[in-house]
Amino acid sequence: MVEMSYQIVQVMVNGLLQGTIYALIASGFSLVFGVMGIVQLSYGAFYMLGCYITYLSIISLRTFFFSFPLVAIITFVLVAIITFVMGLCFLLVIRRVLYSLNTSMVLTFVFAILLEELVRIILGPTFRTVPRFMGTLEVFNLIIDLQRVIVAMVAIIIIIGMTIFLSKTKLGKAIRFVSEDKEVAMLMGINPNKVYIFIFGVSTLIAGIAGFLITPLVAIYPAMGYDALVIAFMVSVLAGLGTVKGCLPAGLICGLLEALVAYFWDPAMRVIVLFLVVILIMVIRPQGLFGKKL
Amino acid sequence: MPLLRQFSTTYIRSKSIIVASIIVAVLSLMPCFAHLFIIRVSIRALIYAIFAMSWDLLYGYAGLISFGHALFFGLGAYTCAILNTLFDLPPWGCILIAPCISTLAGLIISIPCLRLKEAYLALGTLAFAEIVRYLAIHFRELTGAEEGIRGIQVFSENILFNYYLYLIITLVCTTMLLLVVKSSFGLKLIAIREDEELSKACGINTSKYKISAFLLSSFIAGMSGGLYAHFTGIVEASIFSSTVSFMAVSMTIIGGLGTIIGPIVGSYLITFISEILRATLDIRLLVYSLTLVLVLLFIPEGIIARVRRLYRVGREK
Repeated sequence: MVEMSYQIVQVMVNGLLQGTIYALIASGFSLVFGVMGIVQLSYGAFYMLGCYITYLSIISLRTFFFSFPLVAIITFVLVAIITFVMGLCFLLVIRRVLYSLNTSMVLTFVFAILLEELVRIILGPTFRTVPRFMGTLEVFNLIIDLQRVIVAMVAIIIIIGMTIFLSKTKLGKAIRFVSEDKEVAMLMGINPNKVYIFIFGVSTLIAGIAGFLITPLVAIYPAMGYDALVIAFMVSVLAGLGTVKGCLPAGLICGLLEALVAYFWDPAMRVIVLFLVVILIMVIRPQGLFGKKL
Repeated sequence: MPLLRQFSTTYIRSKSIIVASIIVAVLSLMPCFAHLFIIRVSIRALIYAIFAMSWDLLYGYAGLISFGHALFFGLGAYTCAILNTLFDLPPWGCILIAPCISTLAGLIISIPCLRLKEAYLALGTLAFAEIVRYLAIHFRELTGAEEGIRGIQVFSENILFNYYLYLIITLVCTTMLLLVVKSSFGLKLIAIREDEELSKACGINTSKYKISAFLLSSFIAGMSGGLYAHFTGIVEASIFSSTVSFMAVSMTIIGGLGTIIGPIVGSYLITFISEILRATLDIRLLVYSLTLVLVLLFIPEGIIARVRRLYRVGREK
């Protein structure tokens, strides 16, 4: 019985750690939807791009530097800059046709295929991994993966930081203003186009950082962005599209639910159960768990 | 025949008739001068055209956006595959049952989806499609998991017979859908799309019409799925993936949303681009997506709308 309860706690801890990643992935997606009102389907591709940049950077930097933190920090900065700039460039190219929901959806989706194919052609379709940097820690019979803990901490810091940024700073207030009412914001001297470009860049940056964080934990391959996109959908819908801070509890719920279903029932059923729960919540509360009333 | 009279007064104009008959003539005479490969690709384009039209009915007219339309397509295909290989039902029988199964799925899905709007509806339908995809992978005895079901009977070994069969089915579907969207049913759907509250106030039972639109759309999508299964002879679980759904979406939006004809144009364009690019092997999808990006950037309103506008501008000059 004691053994069983330890196992359950272990499963729950793993689920919660996984949930923070889900929350981070969802928050960028939710941000773009909340501010710009578009469903950005290339989000997963930027996540995949973040993974590949991390992979290339770590593989090439490891030959020069031996200290892990230095490599990690350089890689982090590299991923952040590249994904941010790519997001900006992408938005500048597609800006003309972005503001109709359907064209933007198809365009971003096609762009996702484009990115995926580019990566596949240049680097090949094989699975790739980077070596793990940290081991595990045993606390009270619980085995805790240190790498996942660091990932979870970074993810939580980013989400909380973004929430504070949106609610406290001047730029954050401008962003919220534009998402509330674009026309009035324009009257107050805010240029919504600049806000949109910035927000789009931030969202791709978050996708890239999520990729950076997940790379040491999983095998990466060109089509991986698709799964991340579906997770981003589900978690952000659960939280309520457009809320950034709701993503954290919603992500944790999803991670926990997945882990428990996989433990008690069947690993194959976890995604199905997750989707059913999301649909159920959407039907009961169309605005999501933490969203504003529609 | 009030429906027919309405059709004759509102839809049939001499110029549309001329254009339509030229297109039909070209399509039906195509086997005389085209290579066998082109005919095969055309059949594929026709199947996708039916599928994309069903999506166009749902979003272009009723304003209900579905990201999980592959669910109906895949259910139709799997129904045909299972009935044909396990129960030895001839293709004709399968193709009659498959749409009914997907209509049933449409009914089940449309009821919870009634409360959802726009992006939420899109994600909800996507979730349903994903559930079915995972179920298809999970129940491997019935569906063969990722490898899918092979050796499904084709309608006929004669490719020309197949071509004309698919062409006739597509034409029938197109005519039927055009009749539907020009009828009072279609007008009510447009009213619901434009303003749901107002149409409720005008006495339209919006739930009823939304469900009906879902049912009709899933019926047609299921049929196209069945046609697909009996053409390619193989069905895999990837048929439920969102790539297939987005194929319908991109075909419709490139061709022209809310036109019924647009999806056919888009389907021919996309299918031909992607099949001809098979020769380039590795960079096929790259060129394909690049082409689509360019088309969307420069013709965001869809080909049909652009052609109509050019035609109007030309006439005014």
